[in-house]
Amino acid sequence: MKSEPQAHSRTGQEPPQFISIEKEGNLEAAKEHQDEEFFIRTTLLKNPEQGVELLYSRYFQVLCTHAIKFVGSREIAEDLVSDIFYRFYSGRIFERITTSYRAYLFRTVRNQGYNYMKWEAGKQVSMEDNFDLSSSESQQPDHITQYEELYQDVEMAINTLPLQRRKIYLLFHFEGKPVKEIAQDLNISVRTVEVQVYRARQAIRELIRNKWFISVLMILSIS
Amino acid sequence: MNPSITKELLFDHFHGNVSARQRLLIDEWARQPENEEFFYKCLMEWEISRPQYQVDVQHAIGKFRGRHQHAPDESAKDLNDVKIWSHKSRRIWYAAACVVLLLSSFGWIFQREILYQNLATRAGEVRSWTLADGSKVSLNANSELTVPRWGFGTHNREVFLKGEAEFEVTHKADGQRFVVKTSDGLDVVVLGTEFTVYSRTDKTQVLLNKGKVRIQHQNGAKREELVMAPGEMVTVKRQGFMEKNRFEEPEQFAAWKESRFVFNKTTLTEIARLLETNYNLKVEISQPEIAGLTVSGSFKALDHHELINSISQILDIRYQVRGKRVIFSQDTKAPQ
Repeated sequence: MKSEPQAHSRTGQEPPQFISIEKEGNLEAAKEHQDEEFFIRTTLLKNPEQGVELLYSRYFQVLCTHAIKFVGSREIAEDLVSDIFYRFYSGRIFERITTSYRAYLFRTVRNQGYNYMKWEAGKQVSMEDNFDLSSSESQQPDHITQYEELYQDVEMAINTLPLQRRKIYLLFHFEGKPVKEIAQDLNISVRTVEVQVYRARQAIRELIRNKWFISVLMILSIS
Repeated sequence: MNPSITKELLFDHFHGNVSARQRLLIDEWARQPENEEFFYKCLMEWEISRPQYQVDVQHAIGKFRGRHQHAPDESAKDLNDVKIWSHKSRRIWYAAACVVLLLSSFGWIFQREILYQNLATRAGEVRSWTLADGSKVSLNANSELTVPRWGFGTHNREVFLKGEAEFEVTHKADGQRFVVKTSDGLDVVVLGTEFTVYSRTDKTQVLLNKGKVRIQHQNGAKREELVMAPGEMVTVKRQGFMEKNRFEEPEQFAAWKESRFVFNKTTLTEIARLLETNYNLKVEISQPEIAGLTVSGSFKALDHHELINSISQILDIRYQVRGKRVIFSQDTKAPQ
């Protein structure tokens, strides 16, 4: 079953049209989504703060779940998504977007997640202290599926870690547990925890950097 | 439009179960905006169907409120200032040196142990070291000098003293100053000279043998400064301000370096304190009358036994040593 797509409005004067192709025939869900976004849109135009809070209620949880796949830590995922929401608000991006809020938010989270990983991978070289959303480069993967490929590579890298190291790494990085607590729970020394986390991060970083973030130059000299 | 891009296929892709060829198909298909929309719809559906990592949405909304309420004019400016903070837990990865990277405890004390080296003497011990810049330091008993482990002589020459030390500081061509800091807030700034610093709980004293030093003292909110010439001695008592005196025989001040003791009308009480400080002893004076007896002169003594022996002979008093306890008492007709 196919439904005709509605035309996108690019003028910004008219309210954006939200497209939802239902190949599965689930028109109910499609309509509900359109209604939900419609409601958010009218709220945003009347009262932006409240509108953004509606976006939070609807999308924050799932966006953080998605962001964690890239940045690996809850804290950072929440910060990253919160910053995206804030810029959406302060830059009044909602007045200009031509897609659904869902599409915009997911796309932006994936972009920023990628940028973050790129910054992470290059960190030993650049020694910068903070990841800056505004200065992050715009060069992104060309293909939409590469985002999945990226975080799946990370997952794979984590899975190849020795078991104990992986456990410690996840406790530290994903759960955000302090080193002392991990040491106590596993009955090992603080130093061991630190070394294991360090080694895990090195292994993951190497794998990811070599595949994703290194430019390979080939110089041909023709004599 | 490719009919074979279904929700199922996208779900398989999110799971990581598709071939590279299939991924290419999805990529091509998603170039159409309406398909991209469908992609994100399925993505959200897939994420929601899986176990989620619980986040506190209300808390995040609260933070958002706080942010836009406190910065109503931010708007464009904020776009440039937005940062992702590297959280404290990630700060361990920022050190350049591999060694510091591994030693990633967050406590300041631990960091201090790595960045600084402790030179110390035990009770009754006198020891000398040569520092990285060629300066020499002798520590008297029960003293401690903290020296930067790296970069001493290149970045700064600052040391921290608890106790008593004599310094022979090398003069650096670039004029880099050597600074001795004490726990009283007294800084001794030198260019290249020989001087002695005494910094114990009762007072801090600096005696200059050769050269020139500038003393800086932080007394509460006030900052005092004075310059010393050879032969001068500055004392800072616990109460606070500095006192400058001339010391007749400056070479006697650091007599302990040769295990010599110099006393100048020094009371038994003061000697008792010296024994306690330098040798970790507990000294008792049985009768108050003998506490005020004084000793003048200088003599060699190798350890505390010899010293106690000499003192009691000079003062004609009795002493008893029981482990770490020393008891001075009046010489009565019937010895104990």
